[in-house]
Amino acid sequence: MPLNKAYIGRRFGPAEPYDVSRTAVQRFVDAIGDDLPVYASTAAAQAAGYDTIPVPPTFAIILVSESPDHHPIFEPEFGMQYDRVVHGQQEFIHHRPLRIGDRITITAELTDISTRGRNETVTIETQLVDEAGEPVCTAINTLVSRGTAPKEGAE
Amino acid sequence: MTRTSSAPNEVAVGTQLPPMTVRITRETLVKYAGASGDFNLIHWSDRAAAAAGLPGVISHGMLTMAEAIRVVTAWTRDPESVLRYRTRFSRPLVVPDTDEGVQIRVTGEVTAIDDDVITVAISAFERDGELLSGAQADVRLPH
Repeated sequence: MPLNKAYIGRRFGPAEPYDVSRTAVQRFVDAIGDDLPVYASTAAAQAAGYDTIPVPPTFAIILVSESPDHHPIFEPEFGMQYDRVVHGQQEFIHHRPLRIGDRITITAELTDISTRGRNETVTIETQLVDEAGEPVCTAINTLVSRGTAPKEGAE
Repeated sequence: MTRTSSAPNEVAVGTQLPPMTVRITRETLVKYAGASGDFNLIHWSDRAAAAAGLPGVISHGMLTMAEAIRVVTAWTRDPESVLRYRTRFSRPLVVPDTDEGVQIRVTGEVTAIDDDVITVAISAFERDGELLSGAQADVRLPH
């Protein structure tokens, strides 16, 4: 089943804001096994000139995938089969560093669905904004839905 | 100037960042699933991976992306130096259920310099080939 192109341009969010915590950041750092000293403790971070432990460059993916219940790609009418989906591309544009203590509002837009062969590619642009309304990060991801495009000539 | 620089304030186009190797095991995948909230079954269940037509349990692309940028942050020693980071995921990384798991070799090369912001092209190579394609980061140099 092809994806529902009526979803192009669909905006979603915000749901509840995401609070960036030291615990979540350190759990992420531990998972990726990063031994950079500034991640080890608040004291180490402050000795290096940070107010708090800095946040790894790809931590923002957690916010991008936050609240999947509200995500239109999980609506049955969109027609996406989760087990056919692979991550195609990812980009983070950090307008300023994401920091522990930030309360982030997340909105997103499904900007494109394109077809290459039998695969369909969905592009989603997510905006992370802080409590002052200032942009923190723009994340652009593309998901590849394998084998769901119509066979050539079938449309 | 050396071609491999451990000093970010001495860079030129073509400068190689110090390479690093990273090991990923099934335990890494489980920990990353918990830390990231991505519980897609293909990242931990052999049955689910096979049903999806994959050769085995595969790593989260985002885990590979997180590991690959370490070549930059280990060099600048500043996670906040990364202004922009993008990649395509060129092929899945199968992680066998062994003690050794898989090993990734990450390299970075300076491809552009614009005042205090440099562009680094990043490669993440595993035995069977390159995992990322077009991976690059814009990085602010320390003053």
